[in-house]
Amino acid sequence: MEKSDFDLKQKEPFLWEIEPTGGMNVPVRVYADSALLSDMTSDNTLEQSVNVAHMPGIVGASLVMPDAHWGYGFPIGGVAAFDPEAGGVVSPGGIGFDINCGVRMLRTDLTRGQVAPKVQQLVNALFKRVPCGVGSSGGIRALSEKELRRLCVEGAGWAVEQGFGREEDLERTEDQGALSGADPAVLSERAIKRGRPQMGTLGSGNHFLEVDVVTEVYDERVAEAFGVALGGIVLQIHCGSRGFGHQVCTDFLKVMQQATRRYGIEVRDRQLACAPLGSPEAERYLAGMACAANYAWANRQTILSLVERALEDVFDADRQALGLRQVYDVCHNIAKFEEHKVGGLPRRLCVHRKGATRALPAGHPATPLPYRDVGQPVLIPGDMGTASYLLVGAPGAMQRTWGSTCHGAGRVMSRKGAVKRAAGRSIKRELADGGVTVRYTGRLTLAEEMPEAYKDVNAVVEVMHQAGITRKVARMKPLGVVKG
Amino acid sequence: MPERKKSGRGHGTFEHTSDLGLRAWGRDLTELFDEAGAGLIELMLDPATVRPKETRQVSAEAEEPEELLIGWLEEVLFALDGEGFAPASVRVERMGERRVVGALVGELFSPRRHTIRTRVKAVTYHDVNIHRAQGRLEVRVILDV
Repeated sequence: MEKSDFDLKQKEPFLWEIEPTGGMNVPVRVYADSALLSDMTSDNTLEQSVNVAHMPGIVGASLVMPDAHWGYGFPIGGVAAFDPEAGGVVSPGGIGFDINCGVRMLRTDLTRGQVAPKVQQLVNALFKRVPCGVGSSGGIRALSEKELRRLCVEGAGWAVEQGFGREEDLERTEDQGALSGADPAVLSERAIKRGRPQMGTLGSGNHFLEVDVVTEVYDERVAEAFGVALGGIVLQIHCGSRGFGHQVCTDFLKVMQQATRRYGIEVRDRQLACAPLGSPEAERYLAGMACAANYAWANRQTILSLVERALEDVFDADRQALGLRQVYDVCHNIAKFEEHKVGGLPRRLCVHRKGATRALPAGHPATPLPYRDVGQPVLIPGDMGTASYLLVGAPGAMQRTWGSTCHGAGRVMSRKGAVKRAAGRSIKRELADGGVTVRYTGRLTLAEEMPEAYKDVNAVVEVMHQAGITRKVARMKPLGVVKG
Repeated sequence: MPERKKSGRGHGTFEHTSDLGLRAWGRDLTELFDEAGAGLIELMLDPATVRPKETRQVSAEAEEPEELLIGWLEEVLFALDGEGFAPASVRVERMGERRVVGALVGELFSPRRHTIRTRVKAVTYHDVNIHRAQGRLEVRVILDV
């Protein structure tokens, strides 16, 4: 790891800035406290944010969220907006391989007292219902090519039509679970091959299913609107577009290497390869990216339904009796055209969020109808031993971060480092001692994902709370976790 | 992972916060590609558990050597993830300036027989740079896991 050596100036208690020098088109703005900032300066996070600040047509700033860490191309936790009228670009490296990786939350009427004695049984039922781990397939039957193409356009709505969940889930999903502009004609045979068998599966790595108890409520009014109360049980689903999204990104990274040369664009890292918005390469990538985003929404919609069935089995009651209702579904790896103000004037920008969550305040026209009066729910999963947060978008997000906030705790330790640290220990036992029942497929994955491998999620959400970007609504503690 | 530095070629890993780094070196591009391929296979699974029952041809094309290397590694990755073919080894047969052709030896993946080590999901272009050091070619590639 290289130490970054940048001239960071503190602008506000939780905001630092690197002023533009050399070929930087905009400054870098980092939201962090001093401990989180110190994590970032010990890896290549800031160097990567500076690379992004050099990209053509970037407006405002190259933004760094408090959970940011060294990624590839963009840092994970990076946000950047590009203006098509100013030579702005789209870069697949600013979205990532797992297109529309995201989080969905389900609320229940269940209480800790009802769930605690049955956690092991519930975790087993979830593990059985939702295939996870290496190359997992068969969450539902394999899709025909024709069905896959339709799903790419319809997103979560496709899953609802197949009997997975309900229409009301869609209005509590970002973009109603379907990004427009998807065109399956741009997909490669390989993408289709990888996508067909994996619908309704969780995958591996940091993806999970989690059973949480609400241990703190910060804002009663908003919590009530979200359907969440102290001592209540919620479930979280974290996964994305599986091998399908990875293949779409892989295919277009190759296209973008050529495009970067063709348009004479200089990038400081090949992973930042890009094409001008409006060019055929950019249009095709965005059409493919939308397919993968819609695949991910269909996947989480399908998994939601499998999770609901597991709950019905374990508690021997139907979903009405259990009070099951989706709170929300956010994506945290995506690029979208959105209207924002630049120098006081409305502009249509292509906002890249890589490991960052959209955060809209009350009253914003894109805030989902059921939450228009309170603001958009923001789901922040922490590590599997500590806590997760439910936040709400605040007006500061529109003024400062293109309506964006953090997405999780953020890794601080390499996977190899975590495995070394876990040597001779039973992470499963340690989690059990902390009241968390975990079931997993790969022992190595559990070690890689140990709580110490992550930053302090409490500090991460506090930064965004203090900066007026998102406000804390509730804090949850995990009781049961299924890991791929 | 064994590092066979003495022969002027080899492969190993390096650390990255969220993902995994693969290092490879060799006296020429053929050796470099062979080593990078072997390194990727060893990261994905235990090649000793794979029987060399079938040979499949793989190829990649690109305008620059780094992109060619990534295309080559993507072939190895896709064999396992896209086609359910567990590779035991991969070997360059023809190395051109813009095209590489090789042979992947292995058998159909079986979860009972084969031990998966790391779920490698994609090959990134992040900071990839084939360079000459101490009279040999070296490269570092970050893998998305």
